[in-house]
Amino acid sequence: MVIQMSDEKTHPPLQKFNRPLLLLNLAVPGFSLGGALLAIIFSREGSLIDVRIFAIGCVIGSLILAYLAWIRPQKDIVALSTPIYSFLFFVAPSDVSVTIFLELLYAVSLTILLIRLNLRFGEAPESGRSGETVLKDPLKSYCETVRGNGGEISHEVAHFAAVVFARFAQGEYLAAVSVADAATADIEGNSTFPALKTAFCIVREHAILLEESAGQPDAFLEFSTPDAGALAKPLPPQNKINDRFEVSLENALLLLFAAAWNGSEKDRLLLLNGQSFAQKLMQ
Amino acid sequence: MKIGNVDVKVSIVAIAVFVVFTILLLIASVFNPDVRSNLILLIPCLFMLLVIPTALNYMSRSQYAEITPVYEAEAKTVRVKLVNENMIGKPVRIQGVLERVYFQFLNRPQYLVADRSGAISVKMFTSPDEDVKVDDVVEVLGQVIRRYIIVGEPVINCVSIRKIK
Repeated sequence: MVIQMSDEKTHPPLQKFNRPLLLLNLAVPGFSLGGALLAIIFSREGSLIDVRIFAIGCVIGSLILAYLAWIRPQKDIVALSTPIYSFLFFVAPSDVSVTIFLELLYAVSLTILLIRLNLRFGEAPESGRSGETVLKDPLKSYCETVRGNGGEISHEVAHFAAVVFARFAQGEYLAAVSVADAATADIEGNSTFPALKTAFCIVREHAILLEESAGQPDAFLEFSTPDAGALAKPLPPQNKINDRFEVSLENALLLLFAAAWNGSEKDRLLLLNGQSFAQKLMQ
Repeated sequence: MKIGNVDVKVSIVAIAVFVVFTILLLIASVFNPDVRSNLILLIPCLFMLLVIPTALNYMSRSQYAEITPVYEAEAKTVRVKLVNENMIGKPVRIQGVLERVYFQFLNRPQYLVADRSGAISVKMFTSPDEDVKVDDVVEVLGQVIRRYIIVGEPVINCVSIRKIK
C-alpha cells in the first residue's frame, strides 16, 4: 500500500471585513483596553468612583470575541471560553491595583486572541450566522458554469441527483446505489447531458466499493474528455491512476450537486446541508 | 499491567501525583506525630490515587475491547476526504500515515492521520491497545463526531488504532 502524506496545512489569508464585522473586531480591544485605560486614569486622579467597575469593558470584549468565534465554521474553544474567565477574574472583588493590573493583562490577551482568531480560524460568514443559508464560491461559480454548459434535465432527475449526493455524503452507500439505479433508468436515452449519466454510474460504482470496504479496482468508470467542460476538476493524466480514481468520484459528486442545485429548487435545503462536504471536494 | 485480557496502562500523570503525595506524606509523618497516628487511614487513601485511575482505565479498556468487534463488522473503509459532518455518528475505518501524536502521556491521545486525500483528527478517550508512533501506517476504527460535541469540524472518536505495516 502506498499512502502519501497530506499537503501541509496552510493558514487562511487575513479576511476582508465587512462593516459590522470590522466594528465588532475593533470593539474587542476598544472595550477591553478602553476599560483598563479608564480604570488607570480614574485611579490616578483619585476619583471616588470604584474603578473596578471598568472591568465590565473586559467582560463585554470577551463576549464579543466569543461571538466572533461562534459564528465561524471552525470554532476556537479558547476564544469561546473567554467570557467564563472574564467573569471569574472580575466578578470576584479584589484589591484595586490587582484588578487594574489583571484588566490590562486580560485586555492584551483578548487582543492577541482576536488576532489569532482572524489568522487561524478562517473567515466569519457575512451574514453573521453559522448556519448555511447561501451557496458560496467556488461551488456557486461551478453550479453557474454547469447551468451554462449542461443540457436540459428533468426535475425528477435533478431530485435524484440531490438524493444520491445527500445519501453518499451521509455514508448511506446502499441507499445511494438504489437511487442512482433509479436515476440512470430515468435518464436512459436522454443524450442532452451524457456526463450526468456517467456521474450517476461513477457514484454508484464508488458507493458499492465503499459499502463493501473494497479497495481501488484495476478498472473503473471515468469521465471522457468531451465531458471535461462540465467538470469541476481537470481530468488527471493517464499515468496517475490513483488521482484518476479519486478525482472521478469528486467530479461526479460535484456534477450531481450542481445538476440538483440548478434543476431542483425544492432540494436546495438538503443540498445546503451538504455544502461543506461539496466545498471540501472542490479543494 | 495485564488484568484478565485487558492491558491496563496508568498515565504518567497519575503516577506523578502518587509520587508527590507519597513524598508529602513521608515528610509530614516525620515532622508531625498527628499524621503518624493517622497513617492507617492515609496510606490506603494514598494508594487510591493509583487504584482509581487504574480501575477507570481497566473499565474503559474492557469496554473498548467489547465494542471493537462491532465496529470491525459495521465500519466502512472511507478516505479521509469523504468524512464530513453529514456522517456524524457513523462508524468508519480509515487507513493512513500517523502524522502527529498529542497527549499520549494523559492516556487521552489525539492523533493526526493522513491519507492521499487529506488529514483528520482522531481522538481517543483511553489508552490504545497498541503503541503507535509518528510515521506508522495505521488503521483507525471509530465514530465520526464533532470536535466539541455539538460544534466544530468532524473528527473521529477512536475505538481502535493499530499498525498495519
